[in-house]
Amino acid sequence: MSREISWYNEVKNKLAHLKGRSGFDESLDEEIRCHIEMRADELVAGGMTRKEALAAARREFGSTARLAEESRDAWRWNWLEDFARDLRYALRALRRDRGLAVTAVLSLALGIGVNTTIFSVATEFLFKAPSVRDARNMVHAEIGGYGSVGLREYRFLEDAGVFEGLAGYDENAEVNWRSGETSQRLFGARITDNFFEVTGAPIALGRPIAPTERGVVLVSHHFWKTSLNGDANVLGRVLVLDGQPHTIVGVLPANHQTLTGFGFAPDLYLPIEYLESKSARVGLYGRLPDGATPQIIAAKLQSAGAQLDQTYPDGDHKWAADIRVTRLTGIERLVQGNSDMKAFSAFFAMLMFVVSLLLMIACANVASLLLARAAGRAREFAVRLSIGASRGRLVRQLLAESLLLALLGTCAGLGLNLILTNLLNKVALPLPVPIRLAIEPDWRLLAYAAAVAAASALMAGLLPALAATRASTNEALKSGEHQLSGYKAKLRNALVVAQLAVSVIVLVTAALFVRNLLRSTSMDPGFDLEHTTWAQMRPVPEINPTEQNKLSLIRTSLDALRALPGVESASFTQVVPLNDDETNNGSVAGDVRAESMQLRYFIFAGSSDYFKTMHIAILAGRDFQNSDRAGSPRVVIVNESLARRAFGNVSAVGHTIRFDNDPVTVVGVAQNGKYFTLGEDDSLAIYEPYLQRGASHASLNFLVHSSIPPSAVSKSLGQTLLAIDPAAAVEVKPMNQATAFALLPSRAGASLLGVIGVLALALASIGLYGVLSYSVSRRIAEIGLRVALGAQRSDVLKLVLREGVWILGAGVAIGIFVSIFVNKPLALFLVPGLQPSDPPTYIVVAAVLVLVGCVASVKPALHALQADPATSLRYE
Amino acid sequence: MPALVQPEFLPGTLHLLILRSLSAGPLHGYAIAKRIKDVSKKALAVEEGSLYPALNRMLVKGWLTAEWGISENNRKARFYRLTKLGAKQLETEAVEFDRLVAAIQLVMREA
Repeated sequence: MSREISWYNEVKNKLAHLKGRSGFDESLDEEIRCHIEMRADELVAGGMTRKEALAAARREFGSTARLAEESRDAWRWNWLEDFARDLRYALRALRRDRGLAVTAVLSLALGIGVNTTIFSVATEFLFKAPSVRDARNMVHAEIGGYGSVGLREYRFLEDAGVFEGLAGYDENAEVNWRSGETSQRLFGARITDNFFEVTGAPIALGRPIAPTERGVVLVSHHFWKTSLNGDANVLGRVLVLDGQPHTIVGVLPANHQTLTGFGFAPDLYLPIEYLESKSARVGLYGRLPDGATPQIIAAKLQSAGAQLDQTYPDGDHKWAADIRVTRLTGIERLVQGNSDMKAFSAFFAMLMFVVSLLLMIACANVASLLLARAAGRAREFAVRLSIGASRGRLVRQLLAESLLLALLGTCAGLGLNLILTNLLNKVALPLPVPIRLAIEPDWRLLAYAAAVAAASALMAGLLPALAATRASTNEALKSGEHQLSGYKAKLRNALVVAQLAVSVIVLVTAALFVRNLLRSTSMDPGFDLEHTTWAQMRPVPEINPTEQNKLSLIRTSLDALRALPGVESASFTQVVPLNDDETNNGSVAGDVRAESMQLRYFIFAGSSDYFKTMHIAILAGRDFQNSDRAGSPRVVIVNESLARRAFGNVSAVGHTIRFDNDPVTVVGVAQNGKYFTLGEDDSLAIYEPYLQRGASHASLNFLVHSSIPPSAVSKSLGQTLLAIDPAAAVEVKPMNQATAFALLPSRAGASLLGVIGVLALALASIGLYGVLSYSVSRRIAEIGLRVALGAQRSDVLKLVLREGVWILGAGVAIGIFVSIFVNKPLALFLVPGLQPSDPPTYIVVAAVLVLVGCVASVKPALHALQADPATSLRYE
Repeated sequence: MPALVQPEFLPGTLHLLILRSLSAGPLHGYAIAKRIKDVSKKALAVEEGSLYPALNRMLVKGWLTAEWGISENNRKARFYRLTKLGAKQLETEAVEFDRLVAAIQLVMREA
């Protein structure tokens, strides 16, 4: 019979026994009484009187107390009670050694606090389910390679009945909120009428938007609290949005999570107004019918796409191609997601790895402390082992101590987690889109913390416990000194070497990200950041309803801006580099080659003077001119890289290029630059005159190059634009502050990992210092003897430092060797030109650690030198 | 009458004796002790102080079940019954016991 089964049986029987425990003693008493009666019966049959027989039987039976006690023992939960006893004992032991307990708990609290915080942030970003009913059954569909489609296609697909319900959701809707004399740009999400019905998203106050209802709005909890002062009578209040009155019909709960995820938090939900508009696009979010999988739905969507292709043919584009159906929750979303999603997941995986290393460093510190402490208790253990305690019993008892430390550390760490996540929740991220974190402790965090506590207890406690109870009874009993045996000292040194090696990995990672930040901030984006100001104007669409109105507004504004003092040039653009991206993945064919190429390129649409304003050099040909207008021959300016790809060594200017079959003439070649992230390398880009590109965005971007600093010109820019359209929402900022999006990965990486690196360095230094000062104190007598025999100070210093240098050297060398391999995947996050094996980073990290190591060694060394030979000899 | 031998001189023997006594059918505590004594021709005496804790340990292990019933002379008594698990345990322990005894006898004779 296997042990597991018998153990299982015992637990089951004991549990059953627990239920009837109250009757156990009475039952046993009864059984004993019966036993005695039966014996008495027998004696009576042998000729005794009843009374004599009973007395004799009782005598024979003997004491019932011990019997009852032993019978009860059989039902005890021995291991559990042992464990409780161990914990009590551990608590007493730690109370005696308060210094050690506090250091260990603090060390673990830091490690666990930072570790669980990163865990909380990662689960918040990656795994938080959207606020929908039965989130497992909601999917996002991409069709024809597009994440969002026009309303015509949306309605076609909804009618096709592929889903149990298909909602459309446009997360990029912005509106102007007219409040008093000013207009403010708000972030909204436009939704189809059935949105709340399909998703089942809960509403805190009020009701969802009813079918066909227009001029109504739901507001977010944050917007309600901050911009509407948490007004209790908010329902029925009217907001003027884009010049139209909108009645508030509902408020979303504080924990509302959008379908977009990643903490994306728009202020408003609005019904899609422009039902017939060609420009409105919605993301497709559907509910799976019972039993359907995303694969089944993808197959059905493909046939629906084929019908769509027949009903509304769209050139070469095929709706039936590139179908993708992904769930909104769980790991699939990350695995099947696009490359941004993967990079995002990889970033968090990397962070989790680094904070796990940090936790290991903390555990090594505690292990090192416990090991030193075990040395002082060697005699106690030897005695207990020699009088028959099993080694397992002692190990269990020591592990109870480390478990207690780990539990205390985890509690303190969770406290730190709450503080840090609370701070993060309050921080407004410097992003062009509203991202708001609402991290709350949940079952995931608790389960993770429990696992971390158990792992830390084992990591910190197992080695010291095994080492402490290593059977060398005789040795320990003989020796009166409380000192580390050679084995334990070596183990402790090995721990510090390992700790140093791990710290090198963490520090190299941190240093790489700091260097990455420095590089990316000093990186030339290919245009002038310092003298350029970006003024964003969002006119109310209803006031400037036609394209013609908008074009004249742009013309008037440009003229007014150019006339301002200090302004050298001004230009209009639809897409602001490093802030928005508009890309196309399509066929490109220069007229010098027969075959076309499939390329991904950025598209910018600007006005005349765009290149002059941005200080982007035109290498050949010309800038845009006012004559490049609708109706005149179509022209394009391409960047160097695209010119080389399409035309090779032939000068591109004057040639024709076809983008998805549209022939246009290249009139200029512009210098390469960065378009959306600073990390990109050699990206392709085309520039078109905005007057030829057609349908413009709701927000108008003006870029201004000034001879005076942007701060001096920004006020007059804003006033000028507001004077032209007082109802517009206007935001003006210097271009060098508008690179937040592009720099965010570098900044987030550098600040997070920088902090973690400093913590790792501090923890490793404490460990190193502890080991060195301990090894010196162990050798005080020896040093005293040497000094008494005439050793020079320098000899003593050498003796002490030698050990430190050896440990340092080994730790740093191993660490660097391992980091070179471990850090390879970091290349994904670094700007081009910075390698994970960047030599300066390694040199700096090694130098810092050696410096810290030397400082940690100096104090013990001085201590050793000051030792008075007479005292230290007496110490023996 | 020779002195009664306590059956605990070999560890686990008491369990084995109890299991064997119950293999014929359920018995109460007094009857178990009596059966062992009678069958061993009074050579083995099970002390009550050991019997009841042993019965409880075997209940915990699931080798026995217990229930109240009426004894042959109309007294209330707690009857112990062998479970399937207990029967299996008896089988393995009996084999091991035989090997042990044979080994001891061998040593006693030959050494």
